[in-house]
Amino acid sequence: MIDPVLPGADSARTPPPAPVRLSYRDAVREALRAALRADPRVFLMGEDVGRYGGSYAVSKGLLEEFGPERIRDTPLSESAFVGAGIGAALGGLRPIVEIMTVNFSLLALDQIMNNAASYCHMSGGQLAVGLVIRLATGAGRQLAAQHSHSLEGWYAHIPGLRIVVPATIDDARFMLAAALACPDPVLLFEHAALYNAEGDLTPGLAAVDIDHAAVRRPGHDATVITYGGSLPKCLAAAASLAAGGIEVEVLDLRTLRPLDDAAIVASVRRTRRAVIVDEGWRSGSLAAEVTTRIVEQAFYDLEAPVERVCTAEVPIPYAKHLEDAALPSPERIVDAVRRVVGGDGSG
Amino acid sequence: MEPTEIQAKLLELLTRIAPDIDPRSVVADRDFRDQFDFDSMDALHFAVAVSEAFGIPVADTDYGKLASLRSAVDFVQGGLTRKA
Amino acid sequence: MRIEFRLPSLGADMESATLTEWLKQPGDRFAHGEPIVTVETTKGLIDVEAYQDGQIADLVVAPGTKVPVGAVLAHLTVADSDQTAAPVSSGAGVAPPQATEAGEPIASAGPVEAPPASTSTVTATPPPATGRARLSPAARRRAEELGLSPASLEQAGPATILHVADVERLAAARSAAAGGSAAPADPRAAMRAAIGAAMARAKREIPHYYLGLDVDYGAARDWLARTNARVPVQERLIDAVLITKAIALAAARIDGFNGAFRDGRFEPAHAVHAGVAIALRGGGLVAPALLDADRKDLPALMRDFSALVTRVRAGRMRSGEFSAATITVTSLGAEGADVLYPIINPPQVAIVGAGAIREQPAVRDGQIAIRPILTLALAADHRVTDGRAGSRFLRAIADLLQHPDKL
Repeated sequence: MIDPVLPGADSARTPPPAPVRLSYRDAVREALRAALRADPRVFLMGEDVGRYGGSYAVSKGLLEEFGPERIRDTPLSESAFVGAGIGAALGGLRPIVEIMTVNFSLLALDQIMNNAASYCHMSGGQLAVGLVIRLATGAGRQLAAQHSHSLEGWYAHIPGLRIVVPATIDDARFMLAAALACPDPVLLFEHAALYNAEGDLTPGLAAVDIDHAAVRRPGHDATVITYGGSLPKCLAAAASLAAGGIEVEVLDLRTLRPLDDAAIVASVRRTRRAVIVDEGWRSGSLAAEVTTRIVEQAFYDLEAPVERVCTAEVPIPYAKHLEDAALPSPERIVDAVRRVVGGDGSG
Repeated sequence: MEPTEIQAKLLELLTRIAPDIDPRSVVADRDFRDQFDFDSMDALHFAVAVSEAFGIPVADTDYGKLASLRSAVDFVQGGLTRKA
Repeated sequence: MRIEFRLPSLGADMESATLTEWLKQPGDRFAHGEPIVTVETTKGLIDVEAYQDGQIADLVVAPGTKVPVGAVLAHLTVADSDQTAAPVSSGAGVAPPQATEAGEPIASAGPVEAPPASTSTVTATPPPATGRARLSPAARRRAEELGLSPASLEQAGPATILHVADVERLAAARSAAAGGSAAPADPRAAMRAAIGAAMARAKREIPHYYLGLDVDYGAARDWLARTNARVPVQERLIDAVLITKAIALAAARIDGFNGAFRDGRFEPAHAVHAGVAIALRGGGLVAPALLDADRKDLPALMRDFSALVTRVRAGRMRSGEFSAATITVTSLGAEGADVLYPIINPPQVAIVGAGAIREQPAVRDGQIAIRPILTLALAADHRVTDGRAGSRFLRAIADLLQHPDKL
């Protein structure tokens, strides 16, 4: 008998391979390395990605391994190098453009929205911009207001883009390949607070999709809907609620555009209560969009008003205690869940 | 007073304190407690009614003698005899 | 000022009632505590009393009509006052029970489950302007699936939010109570269904704990025999009055057993209105309240108790008696079982069950003696108290029963 995975091994006696433990940063680097190896059209471009190894050390070692043709340091001009990436994609390459933080992406917003997101539509489908832009996002590392915001909700507003947010080690490792396979421009948001998070890569996993939300913890009393850097906070809140007898389902959206309405609605129909946790600001937020879809599609399944846990509507403060106070926390999530689950004095 | 008169009067008293009882259904020998779920308040109300209607004393220890229609007739007869 | 006069909820098990008779007509004046209308519930006929002085403006519901709790029965004209809350159901306004000069207790008609306040203070939670209960969207759809009109459920009262589970419970109670729709169902089956719904809710929602205590009833029994031997039959007392008084006094002294659990917290009551469970012949029971049971002397409490039983037996009760109880006492009488483990009557937080008083061996002064023993069983709400407080409460009752002359 031939074992396709371990040729020559006696599969009946061999224990399954031990899970590989690695950091989110390592997982992203492995994803880059795999993409660069798999397809000669792929290259990485951005500020300090080469000699410096990336501002979050994600691309450390890649310059040595793949050379300056494929690991390209750029000038400090987001508009220029994102535009160059669009051109490369139109020319048949598969560029991965890194933008140091989402705040800086505003300098390239014209390229992203007016060009990358629009060309396919404006050319009647003749031009495909197969570009992947990786952006660090989020707060929690005392980098102050110009390096800490969560603007993925803004980008999720724009037709023509696909917005993906890996929150787990598996997604950090495999979402990039799915993004590169997508014919449309994909913005891939990596929460800066996740880079040091460690976890096990699921043994045997070889690919993930960028179409579906995922239930990260099953439960029946309420659905906590989140994505990205807020997922660990939601899981911590869920564990603490479980100790008090409340079992929440934690749904990781994974892809913010297009939203997986079916998964959202299916979970809320089961639990009849929803809390949305979003590090963006509340007003006009992705959380607002998810809330609206729940109300549109599952209104008659609701037992309580939908709650949102978002970031305080201030530029993210530098001071540690103020930054902590501004962001969603497990405690605030627990409180919101308790409000939707009980506390109305019914019965 | 004839036993039949006494019995008729007792049935009237019974239905006054317990309007939810059909007087025609009363079995003379059966305890009110078994027949009608008489509780201590019903028993006391019946004792008060008997005492007032016939003008005879009913001691605290006499409630047991009023437990059924037949024993109540006997008790009233005895009381009336003593009064006379 | 013109206000709405609504059908009050006269207990957790009441969903609706049939209006049988208007005791006042448009233009008639009435005083606080005076019966205005008679309604028929699963408990029997109940006179609904006015909760303030006023005049009938117009009647809304005709006799013979079955209406849900909270339905507007009439409009009243009352003097403008600081208390503007209409007499609606659960937890809306609060009109305190008051005693007249004659000592005859008259309770408010309005708010059910109203925490009895002292006569000087009135607390009122203003209901939302709509005056109707709110159904969650899911509850609304479930109600429609079950054939219940959301409008009828909205009458549950303004302070309530109904969820799917509430709707299913109400549907079960109604279908059990209804049997047929318009045809008069078997009243006993209806009452049994209503009791079942209320007790199922109590068991589901209230984390009960149970404690039992054997009480030496010798002192009480002997005192009662001596006292009853001295007075004419009209003035005699029964065991249940002594026991109820002792429980009421203990409830006034030990915190956490007298009041209501509502909106996620315990609201202690300022007066002790002891609900007394009265069995109905042929099945079923009601638990109207003896008002201010801790403050009345035994003869007064006996008079109230006697009058209450008389009205219950006649099927003629007062609304205030059903809205006021802050704790309940239930006893099985001489022929009953030794111990009665009761179920709390929501929104109350405690109930004491008294078993049959029976002769049994007991240790007294190091000797085995035959003593009359009364076993008291407490069921109390763990959200409010625990076993330690419950034990203190039961011991306090036992101690009070050792000195019946001081009750």
